[in-house]
Amino acid sequence: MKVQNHAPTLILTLVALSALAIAASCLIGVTPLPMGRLMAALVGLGDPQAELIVWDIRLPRALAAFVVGMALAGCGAALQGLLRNPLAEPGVLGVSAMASLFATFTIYWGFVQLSPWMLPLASIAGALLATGLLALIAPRVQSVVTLVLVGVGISSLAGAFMSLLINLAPNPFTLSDMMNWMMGSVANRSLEDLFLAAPFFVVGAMAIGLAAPGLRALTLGEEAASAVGLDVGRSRIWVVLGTGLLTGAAVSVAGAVGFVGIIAPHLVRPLVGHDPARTLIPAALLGGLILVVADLIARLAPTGQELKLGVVAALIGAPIFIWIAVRRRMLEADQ
Amino acid sequence: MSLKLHEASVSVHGAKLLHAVSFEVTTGKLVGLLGPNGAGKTTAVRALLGLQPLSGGQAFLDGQTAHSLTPKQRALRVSYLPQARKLAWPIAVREAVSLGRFAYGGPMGRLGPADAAAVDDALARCSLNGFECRSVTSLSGGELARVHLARALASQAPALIADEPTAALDPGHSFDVLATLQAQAREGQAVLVVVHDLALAARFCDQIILLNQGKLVIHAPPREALTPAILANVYGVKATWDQDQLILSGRI
Repeated sequence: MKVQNHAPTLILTLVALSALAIAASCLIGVTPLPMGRLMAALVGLGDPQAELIVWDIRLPRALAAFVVGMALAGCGAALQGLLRNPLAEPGVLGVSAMASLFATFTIYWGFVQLSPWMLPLASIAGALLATGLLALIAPRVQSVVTLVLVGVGISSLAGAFMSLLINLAPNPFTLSDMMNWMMGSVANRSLEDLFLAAPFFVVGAMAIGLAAPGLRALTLGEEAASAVGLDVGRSRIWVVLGTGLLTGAAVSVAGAVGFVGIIAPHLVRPLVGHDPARTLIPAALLGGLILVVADLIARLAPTGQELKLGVVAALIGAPIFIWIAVRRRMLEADQ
Repeated sequence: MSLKLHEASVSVHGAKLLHAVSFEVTTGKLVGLLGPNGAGKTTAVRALLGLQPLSGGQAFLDGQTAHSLTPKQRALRVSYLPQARKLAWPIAVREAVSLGRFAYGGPMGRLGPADAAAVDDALARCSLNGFECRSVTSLSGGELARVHLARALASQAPALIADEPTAALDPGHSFDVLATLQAQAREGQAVLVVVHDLALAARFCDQIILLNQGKLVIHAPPREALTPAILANVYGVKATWDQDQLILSGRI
């Protein structure tokens, strides 16, 4: 079996496809406007109505989907490298659930009114708590299956608290706000929402970038990675910090969107020679592309009420998750 | 270069795994670390590297206290091949061997021409030419063992410690591995190898360090260390020397 690395071509292709998908998201929608007016608005020469639709409604939404997808898929690739398991992902490990639980708390008690920073900070705190907990447990349990189970436990716990909050929700308005975080959606996002989360995305991406060479060395296992000169503890800290910031920021923008962190790295890996460090950037780009397309499907699907992005992502992602898990089991049985 | 344990003791959860063990491995020697299962071989190796906290005594790598070194400083002094051999991803053979140069990489892990040359050299020493682009999961056990050994050689550190590099290998591949390690020692590396095959150790090693129940039994050349009396006592096996060959003939 030959191992091949097409990372540069892959990155260029994904950038081009993502740009196309975002442009398409700006042009396609339920408001019937002639293509010419929309095109003009996109390049800044349109009438006010078309510009409003393109720049204030569709573009922020497409960009939000793209950035959230990038963040979640990048975290997925990083966690998979750190834990040496293709099933690790912020959603599966309960990181997103914990982040949205913390976000829901701030909505429930009205803290969101205090400052626009409340929501991102609370989400990041929740994500860091879950990731930190996992990183503390990981070296002790050895088995990644156990770790995934711990993640499922964290996820269920956060889910239970979430149900409790919904159960006790004071009014329907709070309730629908909270449902938004649970299901995951990028509807009605403004460019301001994105700017607010931007610093966290940038710092988180830098932390993951610092961990990248270490993820490659971790292919050997922790003892051998340390033997070739890797400070394993430091790699763990970078990934925890990066995942906490990125997932927290993503949840603050879109709520909990699952599975994109598994699918994107899984599809990209064979094309970059399975190197966990080289997987990061293409996986992030593909994650962004997937969510932009998923959001387009959510918007255009002929349903009475608009579908939530998280629902579409889970409908596509969960079966793929099961398929990867079963195939991996079979491959291991072969060896 | 010298690897040295001085009166090193290790206790884990109240169990004493190593009792005041002292030995030194120096440049140019192939030293075999032997002992029955549970004798403390891996513990001694990890103590020597500063990976296992000591309850008494000290470990020195090239005169420096092993526990005070960062992973990178340690990797530049001694190349270590642990027992765990599982690779998490089906990366290419060349990439796996290149990981042996990790400590020399830049902040983003970038390797230079000197690193590429070291990797080429290690691939050649382990007869892996032509395997560079193969996936590590598509290799046989013997080929994979060679990949791990090549990774350890690629670092070109002044010392090398290999923990059971011949585990699960057939006699032919075991011979190749020991011959490669012997060649490394002849070129001036200090080499410590954990082996289970007594005859193989007797045939290749310059010196034998024999451990039993966490204690040092003897540190001497093979003829003096692996005597019938000592082997009967430590392993409970009948052994005889026929000229330069050690022959095991059964259980006592």
